[in-house]
Amino acid sequence: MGIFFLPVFYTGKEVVFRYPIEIILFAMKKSIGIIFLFLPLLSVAQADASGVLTDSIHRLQEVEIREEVRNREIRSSAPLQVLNREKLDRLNALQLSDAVKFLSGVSVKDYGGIGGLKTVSVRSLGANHTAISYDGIRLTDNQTGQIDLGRFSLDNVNLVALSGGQSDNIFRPAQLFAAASTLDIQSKRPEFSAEKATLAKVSFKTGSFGLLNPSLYLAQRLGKSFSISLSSEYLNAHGKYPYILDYGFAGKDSSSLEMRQNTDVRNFRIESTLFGKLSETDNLEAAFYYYASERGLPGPTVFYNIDNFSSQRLWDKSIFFRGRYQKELSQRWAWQSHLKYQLSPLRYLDPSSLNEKGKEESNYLQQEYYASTVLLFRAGRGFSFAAASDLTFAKLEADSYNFVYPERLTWLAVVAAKYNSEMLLATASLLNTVVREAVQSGSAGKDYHRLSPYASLALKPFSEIELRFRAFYKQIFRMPTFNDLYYMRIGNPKLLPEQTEQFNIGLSYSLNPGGFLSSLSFTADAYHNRVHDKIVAVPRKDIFVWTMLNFGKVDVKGLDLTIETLIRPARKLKLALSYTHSYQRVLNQSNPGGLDYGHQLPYTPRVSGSGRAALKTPWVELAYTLLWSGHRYIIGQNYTLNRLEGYSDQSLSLARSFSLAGGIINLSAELLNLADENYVVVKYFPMPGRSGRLSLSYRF
Amino acid sequence: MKQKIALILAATLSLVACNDMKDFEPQREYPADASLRKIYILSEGLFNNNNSRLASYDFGIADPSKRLDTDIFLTRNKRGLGDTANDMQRYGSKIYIVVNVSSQIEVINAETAESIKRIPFFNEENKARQPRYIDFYEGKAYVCSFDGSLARIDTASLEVEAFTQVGRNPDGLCIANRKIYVSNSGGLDFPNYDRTVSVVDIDSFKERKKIEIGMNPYKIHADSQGDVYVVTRGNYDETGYAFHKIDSEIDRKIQTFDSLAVYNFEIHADKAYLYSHDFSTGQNWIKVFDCLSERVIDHRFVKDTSLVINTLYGLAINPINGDVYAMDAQGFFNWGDLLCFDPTGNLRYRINQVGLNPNHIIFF
Repeated sequence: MGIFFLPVFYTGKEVVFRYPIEIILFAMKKSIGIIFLFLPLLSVAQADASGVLTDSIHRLQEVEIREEVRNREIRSSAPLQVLNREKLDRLNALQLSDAVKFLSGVSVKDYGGIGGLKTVSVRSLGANHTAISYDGIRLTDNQTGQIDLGRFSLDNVNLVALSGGQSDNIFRPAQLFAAASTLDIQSKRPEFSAEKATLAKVSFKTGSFGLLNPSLYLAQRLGKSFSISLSSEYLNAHGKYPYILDYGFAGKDSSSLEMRQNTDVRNFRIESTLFGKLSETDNLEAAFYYYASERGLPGPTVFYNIDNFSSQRLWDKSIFFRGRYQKELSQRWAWQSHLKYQLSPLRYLDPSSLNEKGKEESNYLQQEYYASTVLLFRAGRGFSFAAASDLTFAKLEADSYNFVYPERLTWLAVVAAKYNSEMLLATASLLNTVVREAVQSGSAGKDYHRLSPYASLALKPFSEIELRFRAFYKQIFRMPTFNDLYYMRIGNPKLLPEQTEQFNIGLSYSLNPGGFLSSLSFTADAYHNRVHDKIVAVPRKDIFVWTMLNFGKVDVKGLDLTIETLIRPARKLKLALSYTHSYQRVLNQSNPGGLDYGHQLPYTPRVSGSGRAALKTPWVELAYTLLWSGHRYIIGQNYTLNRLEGYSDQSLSLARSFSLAGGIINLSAELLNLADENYVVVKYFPMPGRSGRLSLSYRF
Repeated sequence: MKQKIALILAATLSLVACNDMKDFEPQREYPADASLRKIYILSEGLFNNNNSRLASYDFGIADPSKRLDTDIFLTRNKRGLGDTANDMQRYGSKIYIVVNVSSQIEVINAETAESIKRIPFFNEENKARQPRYIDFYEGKAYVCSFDGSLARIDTASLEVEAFTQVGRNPDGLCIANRKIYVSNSGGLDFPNYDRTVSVVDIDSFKERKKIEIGMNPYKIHADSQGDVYVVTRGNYDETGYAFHKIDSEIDRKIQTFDSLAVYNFEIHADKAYLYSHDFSTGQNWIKVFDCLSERVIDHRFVKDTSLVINTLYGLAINPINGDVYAMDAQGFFNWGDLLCFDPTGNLRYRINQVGLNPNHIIFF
């Protein structure tokens, strides 16, 4: 109940089907304007979206490419969308979820407000099928399988990249091959100049919802080989905002003006990374990350009883340590290794419960140990091969009745191959997964073993035209979460993994005429996804007692379009325009002959899109953003009475930078939801109306 | 030229990808029934979706397609009922709708469906009491709520006169021998369910005793002789459903009908219509139990063996002619159907897609 719990599984009795969501977090980076594309000497591989983990790191020459050309997106054999720092700055986004909404094919389920849950589903496969990686390490929540993107501020983030299928970079840990799509988040990395051994940035944001958000970034060069960075941030907001509650059809029936309650948020984040360049061929990185949050869970706006759904609280922390070592063994061989330990405690309190204690309280503790090793072989003539092996041990503890204390050991091994030439880019991989489940009491989930193939291809038929045709095929699955398997009375240890199959064909095109139309790029992808053995909750004996089953089957046919252009109307003016359009036909095929068979899945618009315009002048930068969605349905049957109308959300910002005492000051003002549209993404979880934000930062 | 190609390509693809998602319309027929003027069907909707609805099916309207109003409450009152309407009963010229999650009793004019009063059910600390069921006796309405309270409402003034405390998470009540019998489920304390039925004296409005009955008591009804029948739901695991009888003279459980794993039941003219539904297998049955001879007189009420009821969610009996209406919730996420059987169990007609999780009917 409340925002963290799937509300549909309750019809008025004792079931409390909860899905506490995981944590972990993020942050930002200054904008550079120019991106360095690393072209390998051996022409074996090219830079990946994640930037950090490339097929070849060394012996490179740097080539300047203008960021607007979207070089990586255009070259990728599977759909890739990148938001670099400059784009992130123009998105009027505070949280990672705000930014991800602008990507094509993505639907963010947003329960509204700064503290409201936000999960991302790519191409309608479901939130559990998107891996979220932070500096090359996958963030996990074994309890719910979903990561709340609202937890991540953009403060320390340098780049966000979404790969459909998988990345063309094969020199990566196996974990990043083991998801239907990957959202890579790259944190800010210090770039020292010869004369500057210390970098610093302080910033402060304030605005509507009582937002107070100071942050600090420091980086120090330590001798010839080492450097260290520190990023910290605090966020406090009461989160309240007015909304209109309709008691029937909007504009026709009664309504009342309400104030969103129990929306307060307090977050604290601190992270530090040590970078070591031991030699020309050895790189070391060690990081510590700590995030703590306390918040109210604003519930659904239940008619005549809003207050009782505005009292639940959540406390959570996410702490992890990670290390990475990378070595160029020779011109042909490279090796990298990773370690991670993650700890995530969570406490949930519902003081409105009518049980004997008069409250419901749960405590959970998740832990994960992770190790990975990856080997790359550059065979020459455009061929490279990689092998990776990952071992993960995860466990969950809780203080609930009859808790089973599950543990999961996962071994992932992948072999991958890649061919890259001027005309052709092809990759293929085979992932082997072995999962062992154990519990301290009761019955454990099934052990699992599976081979998952992937193949992709990008063809550039004409050497002088930047036109590429591309295709990929991927089979992958997600394991049942600990909640799916063991949640009190609802969990089902007999569950099988949820399977997905993706097929994509597309094209990318770019041109770079210079002059007025500086650049133009375009991508179009059509895809067919299938989900089977989908894990859904169905009633067991009775409406009050549900169980998880491999019941659902979904068929997705979709189209993603993106277009981006840079115009220079005058010498000192730069206008960047971009637009994405998504079409998704997401049909429920679970139950042939059922009343919702062939209907669009709930909360999935058939069409949605986003637009961005940014005008850069010598004096000021102006950015306009638009998000829109077609209508949706709140339950499976696409009846008129279940319909939720579409919406649009527009924002505007002004920013200006100037020099002061050897540093740079940046001032920006944002006006969000300009039209003050009273809309919802999830019914009865209202979104904020018009609001504003002011930011000030000083970098030196 | 290249630019033109790009733009044409973009335009074409955008057109291909336009919003072609149309609403589906419910498929149903609109039967006639000369024995009835109209019926109201309460649908509880889904938790946290504010979609409890009161549908009206008016047999008197000549144009069949206009007979069904899927939410007459909204039509007449310009606002919805709220979240999880759990019970609906008529008393005199008024209908009382118990809206559990919104924590309200909605009192409407039975004929017009216009709201007369909405009675909020909150305690002194503004905590929702979560009312569940209602019954009536000598001008007073009695409401049991999940917070362990029993309320008395005057049906003329519609004021709540008094509250009294019963057991944990009451989930059913009935009246016999000037006493109110309340099922204490304890369902919110899983696995520590309650096992008792509270007996509350009408006149003193105080709990007189608790009768030990079995794990997780639920639906409770009295027959004309003062026998009180009650279902216990167990823990849905090793302890299953059971059906018991209380003698309201001595206020003791005097019998458990071992062979009857009843999930829910309704009584009409001293006949108890017992039913059970296993939602995982879809297996269900309806039996007729004679409350006077205390035995099952019809082991298979539904005579058509090929008839499928997907999710048997409620029964209602037309007090005038004894027709039995079964409500099929169609898996809880789809709109449910209404099936009308004559008293011997033959299907007369059905009204499909009346609402989301239909649970009660009022006959006119």
